[in-house]
Amino acid sequence: MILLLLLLMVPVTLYSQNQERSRSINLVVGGGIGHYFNTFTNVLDEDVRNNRPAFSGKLLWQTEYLLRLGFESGYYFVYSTTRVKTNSGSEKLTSNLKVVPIFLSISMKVINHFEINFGTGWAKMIYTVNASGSKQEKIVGNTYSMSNYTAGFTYSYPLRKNLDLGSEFKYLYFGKTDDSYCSVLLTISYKILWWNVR
Amino acid sequence: MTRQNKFSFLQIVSILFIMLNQSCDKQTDYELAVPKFNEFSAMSDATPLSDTSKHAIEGIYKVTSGSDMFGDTMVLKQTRNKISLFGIKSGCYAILDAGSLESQIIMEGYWRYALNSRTGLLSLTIDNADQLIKGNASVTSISLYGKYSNEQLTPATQINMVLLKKFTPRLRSDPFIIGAHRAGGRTSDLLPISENSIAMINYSEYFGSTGIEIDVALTKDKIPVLYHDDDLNIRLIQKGPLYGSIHDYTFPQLRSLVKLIHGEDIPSLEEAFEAVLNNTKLKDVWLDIKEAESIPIVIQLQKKYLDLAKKAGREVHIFIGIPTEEVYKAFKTYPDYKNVPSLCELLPDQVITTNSQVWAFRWTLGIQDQEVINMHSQGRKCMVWTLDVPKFTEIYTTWGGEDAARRFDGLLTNYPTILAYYHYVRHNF
Repeated sequence: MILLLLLLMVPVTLYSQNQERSRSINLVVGGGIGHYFNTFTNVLDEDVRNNRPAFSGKLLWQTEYLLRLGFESGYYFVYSTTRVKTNSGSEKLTSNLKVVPIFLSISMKVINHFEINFGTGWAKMIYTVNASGSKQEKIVGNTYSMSNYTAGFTYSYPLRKNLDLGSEFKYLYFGKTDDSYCSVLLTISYKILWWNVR
Repeated sequence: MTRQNKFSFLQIVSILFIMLNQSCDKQTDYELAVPKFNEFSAMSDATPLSDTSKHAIEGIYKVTSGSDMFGDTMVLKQTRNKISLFGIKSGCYAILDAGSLESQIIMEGYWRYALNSRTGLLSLTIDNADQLIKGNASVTSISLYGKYSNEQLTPATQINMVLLKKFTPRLRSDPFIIGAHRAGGRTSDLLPISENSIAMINYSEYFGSTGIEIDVALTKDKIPVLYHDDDLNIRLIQKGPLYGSIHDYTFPQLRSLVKLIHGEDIPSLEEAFEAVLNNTKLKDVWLDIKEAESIPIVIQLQKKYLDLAKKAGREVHIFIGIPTEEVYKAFKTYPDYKNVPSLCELLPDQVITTNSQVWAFRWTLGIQDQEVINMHSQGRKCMVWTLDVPKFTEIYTTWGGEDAARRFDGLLTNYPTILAYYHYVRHNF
């Protein structure tokens, strides 16, 4: 899927060029809300809290073209559950998952103020499970997901020469748990460094 | 913005939409429906075929029509209450119900390629089968005809087979172990039953297995259970909000909160032993010990069920597997460990130290001819694991020819149907 998306970017890249002819290093931070698509086989929709806070951060190198390359991370409260279905009905089970991705990231301006974003990489998945109801027996641990990707788009509006305010829609897929998640974030982009290109 | 830009942008938005849409799908990666005869089944009018009748039609058959699908020869074998066919083309096999209808023997079921996901329906008939229905094993002229299909379609393509050779008494008494990995095969091979489950133990003989390997993990409350991986994950269990090691959860928690991929419970080792003894004719059980800590508990259960098997007149071998140095060290701390039936996967010297009855080594190490001869001279058996490549399965199965000192005593595989084929044909050609 990612490969397909990257291939689709090629014609856009060829036909587009940054008018400003400058390079910069941008820091983008965002916060908002995420939605987990419940695909559990044993958790009803009413037993999962799937609209949870989401935070992201990116460090991007803006080339003289429209592409921006860099790294992104974040902290996503993916979901929390309260009960699971069992043979005998349902049972109390509190569980939650938080994810910290470390992705290689590519962004590209397609029209003024509008960017599309892709990323792929590694993710640390932090879980808490309490199956017994006893706080002492809470299970806290983490696991790692190697095949993950994100795709989305950003609308940004310049406040100052080196500061943009924007909003980002982001879809994330975590391969280890086959989880899909999307988020809407309010973002602030700040040019840490910039220089013109001849 | 150029026209080209607009076009690509719309494409990307469409793909994002498709990704979102797909994200709502449930987990389906490990599901392959087993085709079933429905309205066109003839079995409802048939009398179930007796074991002696099934025994009478066992043998190696030449495929005279349909060989492009099933290969030139197939082995027909009674497996529990069914008839199984084993071929070599893509590891084709069939699992069939059998019955008699007037003077006909009819068989119906599904066929499958073990090495990929092709499957379909198969029906076979033997005409003028009065003597076979009576269980007369001296009948040597048997012709089967029938039809097969792809997927769930009505069988329409012709298949014919004729008996080439019946199983010899020597073959029937051969103790060669057709060992099925994870109780029968891997969930990832799209089997209809989850690996390391009671249902798989019950099904394993249909694949031709005479022995099974099962993975033994330990729960928080020290109950040995069957589970392969270190952690709970969607490769093995239905998707749920549980994570971490199986060791973090008690057996009652696992029982109520976790289902294997096809909906089965994670079984305890005791339940697995019960199934082996009460539901099957399996002769060998290889316990792949995942945690050294479990050894004393597992050995107690091993003793209990070996005694029960003995009392029931069953010839069952249960081996404590020694796959790692950690387990090896823990095993040696058990009092009287040299008298505990075990199977060692390590070096020959370690096999001798533990006095293991079986030396099982990784097949990629090669034939190990001299070591095999040495082990046999000490009265130990030799096996290799986990052999899934058909060509090498043939080599290892036939290795040594008539020389019992060089022959392997069994193999462990994810594709017992392929191993069964090579085992049953090797004595006869």
